[in-house]
Amino acid sequence: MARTDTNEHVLQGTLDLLILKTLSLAPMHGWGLTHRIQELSRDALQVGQGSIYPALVRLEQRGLIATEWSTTENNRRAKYYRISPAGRRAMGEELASWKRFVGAMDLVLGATS
Amino acid sequence: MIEAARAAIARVRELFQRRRLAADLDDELRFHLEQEIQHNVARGMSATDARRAAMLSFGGVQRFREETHDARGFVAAERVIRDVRFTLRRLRRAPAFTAGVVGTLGIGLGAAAGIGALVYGVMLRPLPYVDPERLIRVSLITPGLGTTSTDHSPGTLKFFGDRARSFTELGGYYENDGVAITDGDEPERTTAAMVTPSVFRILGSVPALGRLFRDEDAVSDTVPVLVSYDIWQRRFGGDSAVIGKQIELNRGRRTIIGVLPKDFDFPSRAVGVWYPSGDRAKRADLTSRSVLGIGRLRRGVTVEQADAELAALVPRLPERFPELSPNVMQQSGIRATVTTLRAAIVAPVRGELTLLGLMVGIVLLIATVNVATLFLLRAERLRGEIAVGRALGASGGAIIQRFVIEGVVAAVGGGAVALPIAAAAVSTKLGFTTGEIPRLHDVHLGGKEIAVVSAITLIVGVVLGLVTAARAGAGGASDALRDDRRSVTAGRTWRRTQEGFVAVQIALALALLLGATLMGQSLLKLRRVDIGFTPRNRATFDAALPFSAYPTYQRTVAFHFEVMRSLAAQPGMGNVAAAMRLPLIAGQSSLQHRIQAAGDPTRNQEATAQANVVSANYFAVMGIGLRTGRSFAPGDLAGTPSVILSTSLARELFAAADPLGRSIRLVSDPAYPAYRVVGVVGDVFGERIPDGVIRVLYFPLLADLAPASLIKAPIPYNPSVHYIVQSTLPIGTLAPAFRQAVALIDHRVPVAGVKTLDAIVSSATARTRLMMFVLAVAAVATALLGAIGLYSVVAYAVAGRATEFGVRLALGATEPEIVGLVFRQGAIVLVAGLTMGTVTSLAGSRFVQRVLYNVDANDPMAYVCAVGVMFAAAAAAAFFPARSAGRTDPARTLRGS
Repeated sequence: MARTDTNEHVLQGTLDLLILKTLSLAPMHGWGLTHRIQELSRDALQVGQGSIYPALVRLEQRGLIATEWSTTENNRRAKYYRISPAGRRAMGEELASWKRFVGAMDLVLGATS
Repeated sequence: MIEAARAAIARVRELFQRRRLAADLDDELRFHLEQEIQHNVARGMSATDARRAAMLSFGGVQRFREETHDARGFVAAERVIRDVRFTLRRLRRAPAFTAGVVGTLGIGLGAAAGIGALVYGVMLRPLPYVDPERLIRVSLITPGLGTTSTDHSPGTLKFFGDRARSFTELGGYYENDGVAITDGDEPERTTAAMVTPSVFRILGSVPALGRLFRDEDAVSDTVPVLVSYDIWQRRFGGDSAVIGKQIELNRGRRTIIGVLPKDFDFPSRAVGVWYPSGDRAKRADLTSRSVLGIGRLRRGVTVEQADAELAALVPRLPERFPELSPNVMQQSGIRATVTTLRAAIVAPVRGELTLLGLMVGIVLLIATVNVATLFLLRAERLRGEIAVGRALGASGGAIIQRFVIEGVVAAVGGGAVALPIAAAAVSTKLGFTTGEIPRLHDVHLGGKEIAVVSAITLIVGVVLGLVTAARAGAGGASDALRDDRRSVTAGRTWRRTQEGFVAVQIALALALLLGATLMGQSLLKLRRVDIGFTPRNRATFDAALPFSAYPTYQRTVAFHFEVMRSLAAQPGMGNVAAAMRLPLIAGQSSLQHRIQAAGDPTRNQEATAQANVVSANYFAVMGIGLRTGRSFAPGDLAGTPSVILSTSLARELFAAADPLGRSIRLVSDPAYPAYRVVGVVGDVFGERIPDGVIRVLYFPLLADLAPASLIKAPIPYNPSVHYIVQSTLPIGTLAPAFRQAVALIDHRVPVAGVKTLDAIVSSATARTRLMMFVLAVAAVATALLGAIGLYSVVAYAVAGRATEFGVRLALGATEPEIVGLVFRQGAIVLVAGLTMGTVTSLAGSRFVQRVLYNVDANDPMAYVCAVGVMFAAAAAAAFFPARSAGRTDPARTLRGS
């Protein structure tokens, strides 16, 4: 099950960054997370559930996020995700590299001569 | 790095929480779905639509479950577990294959582990002393003096100890097995070790109680002694107040100053008391040496350096011992050598153990090769299956993993069979006794040995798996699919490999068969040897008399005669004789006397011989034939004492001349008078049959010394004798009768060494019998395996070429032609194997020679026999598949293709 496809790789990294950023604003459960990302991107980004949960597991294994079971406002048991200190550090680095990437893309795509 | 480690740890932890995590995930996904439905309802959908939309956006719960599962890294571990289960099921479905693999590996590994543990425990295991690799034996060799002794005299040992710089110090010791502990009601025989105080410092020993010897103990008038843990427990009840107490040894009171630890076994396990011995270094005493020298190398000094230093010191011996004239030095061929103590201790059994070790290697190798062949044959059958699997996308890694697991599972099964076999081999010590083999008593199958066996098992399993995977085509799918059984050329490498395996097996089987044949010949020769006496219905025991109570020849002889009378008076006992030494008993003094035939100036013949002192009826009771003259009779000690010669000694001294009435003298002990030869008796052996008959000079044990010669006996005697009793009573009832008879005369003399002469003779051939048995079993098993291997190779080739044979037959080839064709192929493998085996055996013959008796390790007859047997077995194995090839039905095979 090796994922060697480059696009997928890039997207996965991006998804991790999206999740970390969103969780850095507030802890939330998986469903909330998908909706919050959609909301924040003004519906531009729709994260499939098929991607979000494996990504959450991976991030948890890397120690970048922590989880706990808690109850929602409707008294329903749900798993909440929270960013960890290591996650914050990782987010900072990813963010910087993302910005460099975007800046570089802009430079190239915005070139006129 | 840290993050990777953490992820790995998290994965392992999650592996154990698999079920709970799966439940959590289900819960979480259900929650997600519910939220989505609620959200949709909130946006105004109907309940049914809301659910359908949620499910659609979800895209099937199962897929997420699998993907998150995969992300957690369960898959690899689960695949292993699944493969193990799968393997077990497959193995259950192929009981013949499984039994073959598990049985072969089990026997191979079991024999290897059992014998390996013995060989390691005796030969290789470090000695149980401080820094054991620096412990060495110093030996003195004098080939020119007609002795094989490597002992020192106290004088020579001190000479080297004072001068050599290679050692921290040297020490000497010898054992005396005739010491009686005489206090208490029950006298007890034990072995005493006379050791220089340096011995314990050299070994680095610490006492269990009290202290060990100091240098001043050797010259102390009180003669302090050390006792063994066993004696301390048995005779003193383990009382810690034993230090300073007295123990009566040979009627003398000694003071116990220390107790040695429980497992202390230096110089041997039999030792019960240790006496300090000093250096009474007056003379070199080259002819009566009995001190074993040990030492500790200084740090950084090698055995070779120490050996060279001693060699350089030898020429300086005459500086210290003026009696060593240049002539003596040259004649004796005196040399000093240094070896490791371990090598010196193991030396007597090195031949047998090396042979056993080689044999074990061969058996293990053959077992592995056989199992590999079985696996490869199976792999061949599975090629199609694997190829299809690969084409459907199974990765090479998965296939390799599958086979490795298969190999490991089979090997673990074999290991489970092997352990009880190994344990049995170790606990029975293969029939060897601790008296025969040094260090055998503390050989066991411990955790370390089991760990080694387990490691070997796993390695064998992994290798089997990898070999099979390589063969089954883990490499490329298209290759395997193309190479079906009909293409002869593509399978060629594989067949070559298998043929090579079989050739190796035949070679090894031949080597073992040859070994067994040679051992069998040795045993036959040993059995046919005329031992020179009649052992049936005779038993023996010995009594050692302390010098303090029996200081004169008269006193000892009086004791012996009273014991003999007392024994003969008991019911069920026949004639009783006495002798200072018996044939075929190990551990007796091997002191040689130099004897000169006097009276004939033209023939000044000299010979060396061992002395024996025997009662007049000894030859009759033992059944030793009188060749000429007469046995001893009363009066033989008066005047010129009579002696009797063994045949070999008579021949050496007098050649063909008549020895009766001739006079001889002991050159080595000029204090003794001249003796008159009254008879010649048949030859007997010394300690071991393989060493040949010994020359013996018999002196009479008689109670009729004239009062005038009371001061000193005219013969070299010592106060311990063996009694020989003719009786048909079982040994169990004889022992108490012996004790009772002796106690009647002197209740403080313990009885020891109660044995039947039959048992003594049988133990003289026991080692040869055992080696032969082990070799024969291994040889037969190996030959069978080799034959089976050849059968399968030929049968496989026949199956692969069925079409070809069909075509040939259809084109007019005859059945015998086809049979010959196939048989030739088997014959090539067979001849290659036999050639390899012969070459190997010739190269290895020197290992075998050491344990053979009167048989040449390169005996052509043995080679002919072994090759013949192997050839017959293998030819039969090749014949059956060849015949079936000749009976191929052309019509059927051609239709089939």
